[in-house]
Amino acid sequence: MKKLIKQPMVTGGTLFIVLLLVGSFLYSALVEPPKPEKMLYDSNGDIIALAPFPPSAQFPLGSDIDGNNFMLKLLEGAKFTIGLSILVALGRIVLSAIGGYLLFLLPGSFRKFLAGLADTFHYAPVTIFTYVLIAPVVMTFSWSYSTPTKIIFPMLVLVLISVPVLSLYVQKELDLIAQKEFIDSAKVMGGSHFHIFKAHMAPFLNPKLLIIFIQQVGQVLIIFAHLGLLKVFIGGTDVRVLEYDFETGDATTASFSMSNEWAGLIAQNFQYVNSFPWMILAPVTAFALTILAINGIVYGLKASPTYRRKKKKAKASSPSYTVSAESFELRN
Amino acid sequence: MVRSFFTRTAIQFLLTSIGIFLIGSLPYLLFNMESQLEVLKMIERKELNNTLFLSDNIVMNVGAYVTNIIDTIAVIFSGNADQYYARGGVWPLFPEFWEAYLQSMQYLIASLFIALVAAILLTILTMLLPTHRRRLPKAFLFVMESLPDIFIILITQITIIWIYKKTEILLFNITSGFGEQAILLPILVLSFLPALYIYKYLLLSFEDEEKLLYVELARGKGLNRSRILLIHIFRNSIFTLFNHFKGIFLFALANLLMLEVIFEIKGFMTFIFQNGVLNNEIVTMGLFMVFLPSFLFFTVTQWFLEKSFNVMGDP
Repeated sequence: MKKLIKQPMVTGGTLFIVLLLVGSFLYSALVEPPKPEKMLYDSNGDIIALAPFPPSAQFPLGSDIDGNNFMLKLLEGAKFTIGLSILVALGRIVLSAIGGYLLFLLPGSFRKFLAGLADTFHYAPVTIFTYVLIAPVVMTFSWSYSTPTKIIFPMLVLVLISVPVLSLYVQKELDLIAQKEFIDSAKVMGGSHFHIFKAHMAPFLNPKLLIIFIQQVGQVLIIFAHLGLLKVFIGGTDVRVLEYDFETGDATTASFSMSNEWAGLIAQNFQYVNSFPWMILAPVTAFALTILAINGIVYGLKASPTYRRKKKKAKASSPSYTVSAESFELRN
Repeated sequence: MVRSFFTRTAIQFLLTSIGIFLIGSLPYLLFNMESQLEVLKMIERKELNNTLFLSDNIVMNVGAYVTNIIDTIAVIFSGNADQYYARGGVWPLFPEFWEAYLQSMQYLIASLFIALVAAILLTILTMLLPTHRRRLPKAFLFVMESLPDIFIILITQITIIWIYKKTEILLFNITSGFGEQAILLPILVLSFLPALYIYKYLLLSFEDEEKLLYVELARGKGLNRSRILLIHIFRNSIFTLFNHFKGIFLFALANLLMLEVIFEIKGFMTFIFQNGVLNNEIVTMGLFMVFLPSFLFFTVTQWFLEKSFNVMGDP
């Protein structure tokens, strides 16, 4: 653990995400959101600008159509977006670890059969699959499903959609570990399947699972962003309300159970992409920064010795000397 | 040896095809599609205004699922899949779907080709640098590949609009309108991220090869650096590149969808996304239309590579 903290990429990335989450929770709990102003006045009381305002000192990332500060909106939404993606990634990892272990126990022919079926996922992007399965509930037939279904079902789809491929990956890793010699000796000593898994294989598997977990958080975030662009947002899209709003121009946020969720911000503001580009750039940049932080963590973890595939030989065996300018003395 | 390659391929082909049918009909397993479609049609014909009294649950309709799979297979093999339902009416599927497909595939193939060429050039240029100078391109690569595709697509689009507003020079057509097609820009944008990925994998594989003994031997014999790089290392990296190419292809497909949405191209992926929910056979067909040519391409290339690199162990 101490070694991990020394990795600047890991610390930096984790710090970014933790700060974002903590800030988001604190903001919602403590700060009363400022009343949006549709107009900006100068010192004489004359109107100088009308919402949405472009990025400025007062609005670092600009404002939305009602004059809400985008920076604060993003901060408020961070806990939903990042929290949900962590939840989904956790679900994926837990199910895939179980699935991978079950696959590992199965005979090889059946495994090959499943691997062949799962190959289908290599010919179509996950976004399309997810969309086709989520859209009926949250958009196309939105009238007939209750709100809890609209929130839970998309999450389940997002979890389950990548379990087949991830399970196969876990099973492959388990196969690799099972080839090691000490597994054979453990078998000879009479260890049961599960005991060998728990005592001898899990220590090798766990670091890998951690890396996949963090990678999956990034993947889920990307899918959220994609779905946002396809106008689906996780956690209560109500299309009828949206359509009603287009006609009357009323505020939309009130009817959404998860206000200011980033993907939702993309979905809501995509219509303004050409006229007020910051309104879409702000949430997309938030996604980009978070994904960058996550990739930083993954990069740092992979570079750290415990998580590397091949362990380097101990360097201590050969004492090393550093030769510098001070090593030499100038003599006449 | 050759025969086992073909059997393996045939089994793989069959399994993936079954997988496509299983996935394409999945909505019928989870939703009461038939009754829902009826309601939707009634709403769109304005026969039904109040939907508050309707409610439904997620179900497990194994019977409807199997029936739909059989129906879809029958429809596709009999060639009767020529209509689709959208916007309250039934429309002919062809040639609209086919044209969208051809257009999107042109974008995809052109940009993958550009990506490949650009990535190979970049890799060779980077490899010509001394080892300690390669850190900067690598750091650049890390940051760029972390950016989500929609970020890059949006940034490009907004930059071009910004340049247009400042200087009144329109570098590229941004969106597709009547009679005018945005061609060059989408291809360039689409090739950007795949190029980065190919560059990344190729660079890794080049650097692995560079440490091997045969490179040292070649150097010792006095072959010059670029010759070793271009002929020997490059040839040995092709196999690794090919193994990664499948993933990059899938990644480019996902990019294509986002690109079509942002650039408002009425392409293949948008067509599936807009009509796939109500017409699940379009999803199945679309998957096959991507799967068949790419599977053929991957299989032929793999066969060719295995043969010419003698991986199968033949004398």
